[in-house]
Amino acid sequence: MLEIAITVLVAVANIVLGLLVYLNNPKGATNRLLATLALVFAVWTGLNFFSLHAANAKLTLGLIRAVMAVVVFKAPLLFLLVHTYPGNKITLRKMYLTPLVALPVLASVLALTPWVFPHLDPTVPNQIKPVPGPGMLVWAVTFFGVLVAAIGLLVRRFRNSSGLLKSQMGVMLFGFVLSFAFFLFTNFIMVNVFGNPSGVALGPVFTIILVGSIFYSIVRHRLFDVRTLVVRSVAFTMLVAVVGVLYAGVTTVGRLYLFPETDLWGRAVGSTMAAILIAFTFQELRRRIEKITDSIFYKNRYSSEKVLGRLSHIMASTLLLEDLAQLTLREILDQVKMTTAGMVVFSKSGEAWSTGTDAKAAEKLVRKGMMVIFDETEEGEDKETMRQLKLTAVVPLVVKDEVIGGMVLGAKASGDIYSSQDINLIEILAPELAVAVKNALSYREIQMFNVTLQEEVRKATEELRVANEKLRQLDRLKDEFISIASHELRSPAAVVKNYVWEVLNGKARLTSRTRDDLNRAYRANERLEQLVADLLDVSRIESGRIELRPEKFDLGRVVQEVVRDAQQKASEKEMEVKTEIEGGVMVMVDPDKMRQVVGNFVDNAIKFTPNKGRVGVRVRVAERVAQVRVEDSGVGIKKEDMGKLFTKFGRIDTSGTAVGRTPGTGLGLYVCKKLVELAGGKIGVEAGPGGGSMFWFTLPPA
Amino acid sequence: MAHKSRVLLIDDDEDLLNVYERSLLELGMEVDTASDGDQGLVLARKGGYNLILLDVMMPKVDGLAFLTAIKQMQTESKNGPVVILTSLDRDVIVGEAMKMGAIGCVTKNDVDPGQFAVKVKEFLQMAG
Repeated sequence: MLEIAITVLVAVANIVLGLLVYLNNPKGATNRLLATLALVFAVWTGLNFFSLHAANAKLTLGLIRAVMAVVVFKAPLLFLLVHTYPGNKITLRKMYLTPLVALPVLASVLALTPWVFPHLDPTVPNQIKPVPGPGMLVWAVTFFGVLVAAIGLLVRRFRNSSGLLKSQMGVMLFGFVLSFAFFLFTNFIMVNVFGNPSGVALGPVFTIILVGSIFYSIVRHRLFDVRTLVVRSVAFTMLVAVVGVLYAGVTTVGRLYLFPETDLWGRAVGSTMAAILIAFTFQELRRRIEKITDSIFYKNRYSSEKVLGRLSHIMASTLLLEDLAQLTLREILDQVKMTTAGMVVFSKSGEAWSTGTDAKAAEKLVRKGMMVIFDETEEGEDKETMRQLKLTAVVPLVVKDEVIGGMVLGAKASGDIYSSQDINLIEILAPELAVAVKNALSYREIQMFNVTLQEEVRKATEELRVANEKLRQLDRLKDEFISIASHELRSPAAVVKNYVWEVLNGKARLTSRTRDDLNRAYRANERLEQLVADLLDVSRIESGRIELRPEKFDLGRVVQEVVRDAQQKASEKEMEVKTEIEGGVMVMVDPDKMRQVVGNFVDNAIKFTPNKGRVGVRVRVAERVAQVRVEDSGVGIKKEDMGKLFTKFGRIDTSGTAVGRTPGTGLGLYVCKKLVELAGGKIGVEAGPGGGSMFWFTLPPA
Repeated sequence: MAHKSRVLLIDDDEDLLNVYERSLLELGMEVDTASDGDQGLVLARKGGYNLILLDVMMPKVDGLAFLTAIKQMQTESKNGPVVILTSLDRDVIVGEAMKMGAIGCVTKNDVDPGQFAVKVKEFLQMAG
């Protein structure tokens, strides 16, 4: 009874384990190999049982042979499993793969023949003891040879691996040892040493130990996801149930209604049709059922495509580092359902900017440059750090071989380990995120540069302002100086003027020479006074400090006054200043300044005209402007000198002409020009009709 | 017979003061002089001047303040109007002074003593 129970249990357990492993990753070589091994074990268990309880000797022998034929495949399967683990593809070279498969096949075939076990030992009727034949050697060599190779490979891989792989290999190795020890004990030691074959029944349990240990070592790796396992199993079960019902239903219906005669032909047709129907609908059914089970069980499932799409969108939507980090991490937290997510970014200056995590600690992990998963790391400083920070994954962000930062993620909210889907998502996301972060960093640098630039501009502007202020001050000081200086200069000039005049007009008798001397002194002093006045004017005009007091007045009247004052000078040269003044020529300007201009023109006219010449002043309205013309019959102005006239210190040499040398400051006309222009008028000179000059200016009418 | 005109002449330049005084005296006027503002005010308080000639740019004296002071003592002192003397040409000061009651100005550099005297006579006639 126990025997049956154990047999059934072991067989079923093997089948279940094998199925589970297969369903989890149907395309993976490791999973397939283990599934196959489990299947082999299951079959073997069953055969073994039946071989022990066969009806007759012939059946017993046949079954024993069958057992040997099946058992031999354990070795190559184990070898391949050890070699392939945990990969998805068999990487063993054809050179080795071929004999690895061919020899056991040969041995298997051999086992079925009388070469291996020719017959049972007749000497022990109550026990089943097969007698080994010559083929047994071949079989044994093949089986044990491959088995030893498998163990050797396992040991070697164990030694050469590290980290998670090493611990997994360790588990496998342990399982191997334990299961074989167990098997050895029950099937050989107990039988041959203790002469008790009853333990043989327990033998098959070792398969569970073996498969179970390999199963366990896979579970600790992300090849395996418990939830996926359950769901896929449910789905598969449903599928099988549906298909079974469908098949049975169709064949039953067919038999009852389409082919009432239950002849072989009818049955065959019916079954075939049902089979065809199943074949067509299988995939569709499977898909539907998986969708249903997914929606029931996987509330936490997400579509990688969708999430990556959304993340791409987020990464393209902002250049601000803070926003980028927050939005991306939030998306991951929500969609992939992690507990925590943080990011650390290294700027050019070496500072680490971080959010959601401790910068310094995370930086160390991130700078390793490789993705680190907690469960897959060996114990050590890094793992301890991760444990402390409660991090499950450290994902560095790398651009062009430079680690610019990293993402650190906590455990999944559901408590599961990261699935393949999660890892894939992260692996695809990391480079894209790295680029986005780099861009955000660059943008930030530009912004900071901008701020720095603005600051520099502000400072420069401030300096300019200060410099400008200083210049303005200097200007003010200069004007003050000129004002004070001119005042100071003019006071003594006034004194000289007055006293010389007094002497000239006084009661004392003067020799003509003395008189001449004094006159020269007087005139020189006048020039000094004029120069100071002109300098003051120029200074004021240039610095824009000239005071203009416009009034509405009759230009002609002012001209009259000036001419009257000038008659004395004119009479000294036996001339008279003639006037032609239109009445009512109204202008809106500063009268004193106009007095100055007209006075300057008239004085010049007199100065540059020899004795007994003519000076005429005309005031009228011409072409809608007020016009003043001062003509003289003087020495005129050469064409090439015309340009000098209204410039600063632009003096004309009249030595050699009828008037001789004409002293002057060279500033008078310049000031006149500025004054007229400030009043809104124009000024100029032409050659006079009578050979002399004609100075004119115009003003806008009032 | 017209009274002799009494003129108060205030200027910090002693030389000018001397020569102007002389030309006015030659015209038969009575002339009092002061070479600073305080002295000038003391004399002005005595009152009775037909014309006061005041240099607006004197050190230590604000010509405009002087004008105000003169105005204030007008009721008691009964002086004639003020004409300001300046060696700066028609300028801001002149405008201000005119606002404060001066009736005219003479630019010292523009006139010789003869012209000066003529101008003073004109102002006296204006003052009445």
